[in-house]
Amino acid sequence: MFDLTVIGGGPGGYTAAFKASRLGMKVALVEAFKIGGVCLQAGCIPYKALLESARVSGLVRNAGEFGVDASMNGIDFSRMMSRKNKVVERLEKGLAFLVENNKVAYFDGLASLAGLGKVRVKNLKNREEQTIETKDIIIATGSKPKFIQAFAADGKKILYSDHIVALAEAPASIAILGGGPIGVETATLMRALGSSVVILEAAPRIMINEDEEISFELKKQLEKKGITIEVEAKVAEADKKDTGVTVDYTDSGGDRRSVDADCLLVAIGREGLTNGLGLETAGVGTEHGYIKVNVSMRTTASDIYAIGDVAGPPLLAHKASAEAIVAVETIAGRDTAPVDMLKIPHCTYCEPQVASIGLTEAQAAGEQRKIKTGRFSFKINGKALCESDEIGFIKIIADKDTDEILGVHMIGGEVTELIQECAEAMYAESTLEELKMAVHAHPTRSEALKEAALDADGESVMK
Amino acid sequence: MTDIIMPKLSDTMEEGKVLKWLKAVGDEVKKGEKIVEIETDKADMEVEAFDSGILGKIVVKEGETAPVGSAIAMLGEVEEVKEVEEVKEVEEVKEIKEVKEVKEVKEAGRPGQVKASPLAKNVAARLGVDIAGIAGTGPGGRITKEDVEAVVKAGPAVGKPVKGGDIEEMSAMRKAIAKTVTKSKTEIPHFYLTVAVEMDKAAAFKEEERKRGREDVKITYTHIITRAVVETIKTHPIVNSFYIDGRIVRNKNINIGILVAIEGGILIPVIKECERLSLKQVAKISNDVVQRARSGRLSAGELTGGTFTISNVGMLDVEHFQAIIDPPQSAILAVGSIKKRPVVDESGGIKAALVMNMTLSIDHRVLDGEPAARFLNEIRDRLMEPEGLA
Ligand SMILES: Cc1cc2nc3c(=O)[nH]c(=O)nc-3n(C[C@H](O)[C@H](O)[C@H](O)COP(=O)(O)OP(=O)(O)OC[C@H]3O[C@@H](n4cnc5c(N)ncnc54)[C@H](O)[C@@H]3O)c2cc1C
Repeated sequence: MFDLTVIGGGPGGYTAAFKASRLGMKVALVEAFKIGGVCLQAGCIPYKALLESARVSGLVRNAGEFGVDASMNGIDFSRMMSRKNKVVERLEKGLAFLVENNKVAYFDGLASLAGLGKVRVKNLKNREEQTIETKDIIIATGSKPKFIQAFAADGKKILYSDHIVALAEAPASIAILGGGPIGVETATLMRALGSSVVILEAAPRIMINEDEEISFELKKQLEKKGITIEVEAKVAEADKKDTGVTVDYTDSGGDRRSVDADCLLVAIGREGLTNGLGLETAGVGTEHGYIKVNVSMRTTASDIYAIGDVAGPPLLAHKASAEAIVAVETIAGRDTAPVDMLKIPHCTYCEPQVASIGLTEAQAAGEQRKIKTGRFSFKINGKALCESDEIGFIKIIADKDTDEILGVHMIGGEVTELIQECAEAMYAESTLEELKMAVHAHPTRSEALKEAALDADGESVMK
Repeated sequence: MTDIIMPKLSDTMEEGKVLKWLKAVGDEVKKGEKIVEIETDKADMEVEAFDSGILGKIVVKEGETAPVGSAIAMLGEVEEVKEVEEVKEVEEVKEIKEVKEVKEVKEAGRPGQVKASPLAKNVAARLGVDIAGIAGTGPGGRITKEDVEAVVKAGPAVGKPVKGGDIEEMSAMRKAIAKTVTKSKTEIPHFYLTVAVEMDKAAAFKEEERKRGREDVKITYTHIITRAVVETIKTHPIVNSFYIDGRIVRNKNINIGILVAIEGGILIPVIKECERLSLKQVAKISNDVVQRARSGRLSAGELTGGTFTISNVGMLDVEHFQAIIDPPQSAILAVGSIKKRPVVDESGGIKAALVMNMTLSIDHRVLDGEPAARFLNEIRDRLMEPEGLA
């Protein structure tokens, strides 16, 4: 009899299992594929490892500017992939070690709910089945690409992101359906590999969840790299041919057009991995394709919790692990605070990078409050100039009356690291004042954040 | 350029609200002329200018509130007025700096600092919530913005209206009364003594004095009781003292406060230096201030400085009651109605007599039971033989 059984070994699931074990619970962790989940096997980590190759290739291409004699002879695809695999393997080993170290009972198989306090596990290799008895259950099965019949992936001509990280060679050309984070990250990678890239986005701008100014700056910068971006493009169908794929769409002007490419990446969103779990019989309700939970991550069935992607957006690894802590502490009867979705940083590792937290200016303005905004460009930041990487800016939105930091939006080099200062500031409920007054080291990109905060009050001395 | 400051118009006044400016910027103001109407915790009052000049700038606008002692306007010579705008800017900067410095010193020097996020502090300040009393739910028990907002949303912890009711803000006067009586009842250990007084002679005395006096001075029981109290205080001066921080402050003058019920509250106009006043003088001053109290036209000075208070609700047909001492005074006399009641006379028979009950509330820190009883009995004796009170 286990105290807790966790279904799914991604960042949500393994964090829950380790935490519960630390709190003295007897824990089972069931994973159908490999530990680490999408994050480690096909998402965050492999993508970032590959994008790092793209970044280094950019540096080499620019080496002359730094007085470094080097020539760019392209990226060796297989070496790039094997480096990525090594990174994944190392992290996977680390997780396996932690499973052991935390005395978590690991079950290799597909789990489903089998009545009150019961989880059935079916091993996918030997087809053996067993039933685990448990007091509490956490579902952390993650998400999968949204399925649309017309764009069903075949792994060759029509791909999902899982296929990208497993490609054998770079396509000469790729069309990308969807200008969200996965779309622009893939575009960045493929362009660095020398592919010709077209992004087709149905919305009026790419990265629709980001602040408008960020979307426009990113579009401009991606286009400078030679990536073609069509917004308000309504894609009707993808025609698979021997040589590749033809994507028909209606452009923003209403004209019918088409793109030919070696392959098409479908990156139009994801949905919760809820089927096959036996949710309905267990009384676990769903909503918009995700499991319905309360702030303590409890589902509509008592003793069953859900966390991570399967519990709804934002679909981010750190959101999954934050929710894991809330769920486990709730189960342990400890005091815990719900995850505040407005204080979760969002990082996209395209080039230039995009990072944000909180409300966009449009969202903040839509609320009944007075706001002020500050901006600061990396063009006048010493560190950015030292790096010959002066693209981008920081924008900060604050409440005029209380100085509450409502949102911070960044585009440019290293901003995915920089955003963390804002996450901590917002968590601690620091205000604009603290960002303004805390001493920021020189020369760093973080100085641009301080100046943006000062600029919100018209006090930047550098502008 | 001189500042016109928010005057302290009553003992308890901490801030005042500018109701109406009686002068406009640029108007000439003469010393002693009424320039502004102020609402205090006690009453609405017209404030006079201490200097002559030109009203150069209004700092506190109508409807705004300012703490006692702060500048509410500036008075200047004719030429100065032009410079006002520039002066203002410089001074504002100075003011902001001063305020900030004070804040910093305060925060740094506070040992048991309230654990609250910077944002929670800002929100609390904005919503006028005292952050110290809020339970924090943030990391390490820190008070968060949400905690502050929850307190505001929940409203006062007690006294939520039952269904269908609603919540009303108290007037400045009611708040002041609430503050004073709470302070009195929580700080002053009251005890109470009641005596019955036969008032037939006092009644006859009142009629005589009325007849003897000029038509315009109407003498009431309150005036006679006041005189009896004043004469008795002369032989028991301790009753006329203040208890302040473990010390007895003896007052030279006998200033009697007369409690007056007005719409929405009470006022206590003070008759100063009663030890020198005859019954008629007491009556004259008393009638005047009581009438002006009712019409809201008392000056601040007339509401302060009392050393003993009389509360007479006889006209409301109350047998007897216990009054709450007005701090820092030591005693208050509560007077009930005067009514024909059966009394046993010297020969053992029953007679009908005009009887009045009066109850003395005493601060036990100042006076014990025995001397207090003697004080009260002496007042009674004087009322029963009122000839000496004229
Ligand atoms: C291309 C890509 C890039 C991304 N980049 C980032 C990024 O940079 N930063 C970021 O924060 N997020 C990123 N994400 C999102 C991130 O990967 C997810 O938010 C995160 O993995 C969610 O964690 P999870 O634990 O909820 O689920 P998952 O990581 O999806 O893990 C779920 C696990 O459950 C297992 N499972 C499912 N059903 C069963 C079952 N019935 N029985 C047993 N096991 C089951 C699965 O095999 C899987 O291992 C990216 C995603 C993609 C696709």
